[in-house]
Amino acid sequence: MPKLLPDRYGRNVIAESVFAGAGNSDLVLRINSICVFRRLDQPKPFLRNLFAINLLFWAIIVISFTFKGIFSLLPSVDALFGMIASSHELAMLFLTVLLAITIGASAFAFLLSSNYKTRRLSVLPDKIVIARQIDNELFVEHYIPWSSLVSVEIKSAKRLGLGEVHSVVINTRGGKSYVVPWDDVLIDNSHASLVNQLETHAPGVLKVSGEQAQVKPAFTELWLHEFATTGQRVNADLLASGHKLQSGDYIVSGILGGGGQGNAYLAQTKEGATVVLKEYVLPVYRGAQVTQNLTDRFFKEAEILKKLNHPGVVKLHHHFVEDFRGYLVLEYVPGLSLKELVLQKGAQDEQTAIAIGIKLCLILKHLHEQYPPVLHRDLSPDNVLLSDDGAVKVVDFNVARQLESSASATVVGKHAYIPPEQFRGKPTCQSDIYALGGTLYYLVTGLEPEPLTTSSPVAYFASQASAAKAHGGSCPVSADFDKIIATATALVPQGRYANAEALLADLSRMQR
Amino acid sequence: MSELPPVLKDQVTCRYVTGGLISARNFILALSPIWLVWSLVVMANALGCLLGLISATPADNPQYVTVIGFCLALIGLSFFALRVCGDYKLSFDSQSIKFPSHLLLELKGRLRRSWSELKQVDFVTDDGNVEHPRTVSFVFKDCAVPLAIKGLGQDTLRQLVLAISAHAPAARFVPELSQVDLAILPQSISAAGVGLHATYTQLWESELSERFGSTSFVPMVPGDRLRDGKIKIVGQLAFGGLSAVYLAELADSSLAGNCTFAASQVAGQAVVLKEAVLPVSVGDDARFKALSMFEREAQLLAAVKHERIASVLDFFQERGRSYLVLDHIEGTDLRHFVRDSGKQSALVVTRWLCDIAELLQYLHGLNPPLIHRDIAPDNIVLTPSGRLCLIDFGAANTYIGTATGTVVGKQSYIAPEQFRGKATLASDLYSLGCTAAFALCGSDPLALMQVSAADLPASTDSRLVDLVARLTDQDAGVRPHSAAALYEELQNLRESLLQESRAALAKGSGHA
Repeated sequence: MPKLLPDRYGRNVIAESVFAGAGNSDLVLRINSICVFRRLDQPKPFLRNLFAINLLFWAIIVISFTFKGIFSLLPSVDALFGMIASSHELAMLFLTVLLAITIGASAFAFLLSSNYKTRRLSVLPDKIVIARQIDNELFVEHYIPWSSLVSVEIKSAKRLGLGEVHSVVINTRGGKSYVVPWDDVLIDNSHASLVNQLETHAPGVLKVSGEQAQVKPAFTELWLHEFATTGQRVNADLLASGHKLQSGDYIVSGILGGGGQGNAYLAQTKEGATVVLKEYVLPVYRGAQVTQNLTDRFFKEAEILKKLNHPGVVKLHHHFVEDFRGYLVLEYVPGLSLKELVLQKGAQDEQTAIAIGIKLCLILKHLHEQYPPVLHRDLSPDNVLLSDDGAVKVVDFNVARQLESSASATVVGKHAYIPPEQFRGKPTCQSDIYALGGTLYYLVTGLEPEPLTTSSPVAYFASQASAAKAHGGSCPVSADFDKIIATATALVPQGRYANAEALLADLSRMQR
Repeated sequence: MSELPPVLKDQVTCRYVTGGLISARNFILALSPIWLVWSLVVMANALGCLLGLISATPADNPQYVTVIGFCLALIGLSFFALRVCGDYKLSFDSQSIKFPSHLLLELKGRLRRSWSELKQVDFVTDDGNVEHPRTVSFVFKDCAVPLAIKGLGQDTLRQLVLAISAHAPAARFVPELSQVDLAILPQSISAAGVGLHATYTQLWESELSERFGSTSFVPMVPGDRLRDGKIKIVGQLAFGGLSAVYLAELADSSLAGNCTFAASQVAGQAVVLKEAVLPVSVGDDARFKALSMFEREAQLLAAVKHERIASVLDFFQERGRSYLVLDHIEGTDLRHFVRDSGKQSALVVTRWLCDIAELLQYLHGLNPPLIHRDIAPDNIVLTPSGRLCLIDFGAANTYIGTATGTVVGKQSYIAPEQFRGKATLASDLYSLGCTAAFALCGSDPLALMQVSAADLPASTDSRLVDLVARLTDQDAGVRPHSAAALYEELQNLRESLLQESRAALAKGSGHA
């Protein structure tokens, strides 16, 4: 006898004893958790009983009237009936008996119908089980092995007062068909589960009638609908020049550019200083609590950056949220990014690269020495600025990256500079070193490094004769520097520089 | 046909059936024989007398009219009582909640209550066990309505709790949702270590942040229109970074007129709209190159006609953003399905692989062969008919990737050669292998790692383990050489697994 047991998630599973040994201790329970349809009670038999009883009484009435008619043909009986009718006490007795019978029948119908049963349909690996549940006992009504199954239909029909009602019709080879009402009291995805199991074990038996679109939406779809935004934003476009933020504290003076996460604006403060506003358009949700938590996370990340105080890190002055957009107020550094530098002036020589590399190492060292270490995570020629006065500054920390999707793990990143372990979601301090190695490779070759590959400028110049020709035919990169880049961009962290200091030491040795 | 998926319905209608033996409804229903029968008896008698009296003493008529009137009123009343007591409909929308009519007295006559009236929601128990409440009580300004949780059912309860959180943020739950176990949270949330005591806010937050991230543009909101009003946004499905996905509706059938691809479209048809926004900093050359590539690919995709692949209906540019219009396929995506129903058996996974391999065989067999580039659990949908469908292509990701030099996609599912920028037919097979690993383990596989037996559940069939390992080999040459070959291999595997499982069951039951 299979038993119904609740599992730890509150759904019910059918546990069936597969093998009962001689001793009563070795009862083996095999748990077949598939899908269980729940029906908490069934009002239908109740109504059916009720109408049956009503019908019975109508029949009694009709018969008594008919009999009265027949009796009237026989004078003696009619006289008797008349006597009864005329006798007040007897009429009362008759009425009382009829009333008692009616009340008794009502009570009977009431008790009959209140015997609530839960009907369950579950799919086991070898068969379908239809069972009734009374309290926590399960009484199997039918076993339907896959082999005797002809078709399973999911039907829906309109019922008065209930709206759409679904039912599962199981047709078997013997010509029998079983109808299991599909209550709206369903667990999670059991519709999809049933369909999935059927299609796996008995491909082709499932038929879904026309109203298949009426299937209940998944839970996640429901909240999505409930919480997804309504138009609450004031502004739907890029900020125009002259736009005032924080009631005039910042006035946008132009757009600097845009990245994967947001746009950067140039703005003037009230004091007349020029700052950069990095903008992240935050999602709008209906639930106040959810929105609050999201902005809190934005602030938390910004706070970490605010604590950093290093000349090589672009200073974060302030941050705020306005019109469902998060803003970071950053120091404005006039100059070129390394990318622009190479695009405008061509590949750099080894010494320039080493000088930039050393400065970057010092910045990374500072970041990684923080507690907890701050990882840049997106170091690339785009995100390193060479200011007009020769200073090297790192920008674009991944504040918003933290707000990005995690489980569906969509990467948006310059993959040429991202080491494998970061793709696997476990970036370490060494990941920034890989990115630094790639950046140095870009500086000396003017080419994006091959993703997921240990970079080697010497190999590049050897393969590209034309590139080497610009340098008089000889390779412009020394073997030692090539080795540094290769070590920095080793695919496994064990082969890479352990920290920024180690890379710094090697680079300093090369510097002339 | 023209009806939108149920997700979008504003109103939720459910059933509330009281499970208790003693309830006003049962009582009135049980007593209905008395009303119905006795009123009929009395009326019939009265009618009999009336017929006799019409000819005899017309003067007495008024008395009998009163009797008949009384009986009719009695019958009317009983029908009204039946209607009131037989009404199980509990419905709510964003504005208000309407209770079933048998709660008329508790609600002081006003069945429809605005959410703003809701003050508090109590979970009441009668056995002192607060964790498992029996009753949920709605406290309004002037009254309180208790609803039996058993009568609501899990699905309705979860929808109710959801609606309360969304529409009546001011209402308090007593005790807090985190302290009661309503057994209505999906398995994933319980399994994720948050435990059954996760609050709804946490649940939504994790789901929302998974779907919606910060963006560099302002996503459209429901009600926005495109293509001169011919496409209407109905809901947001996901967005982050530079792209967004919407559920939309075709306003009229005249889209075909200025549609890029002639396709039969129906007014009111639900479609999926993919939006890609290039950042302002992307240069004109890169923009043009990416766009023409995208356009070329969109044309290839439009030629794909397969009943289990969402077809591309349209492709256009508007206000600097690029759009791809795809068929909307009803169903649950594999990520949510696996999350709600747990790890899948080898048999199920093999069938799934078969389904997708068949589609890949079709795509790869086209001239020129089409690489999907984004096979992942999120892009595969289990339809109500039990088959798997592909709902999305990687083309839009590639578009952004080409323009910005980034890689966009689900990192766990991207083949190494695709990371390096050279997606091949074998890359789709790699992604399929990762999808299989996801279904078997219930979690995303590690990016850029071959799936080995150690990563999969120990009970997995060794042939399937071997196949998944070969599919996810980092070297494309080791993977099955074509989708067709894979499909054939899978068919054989599925056949033998089915037979073995049946044989094992037959043996098992014979033994028992």
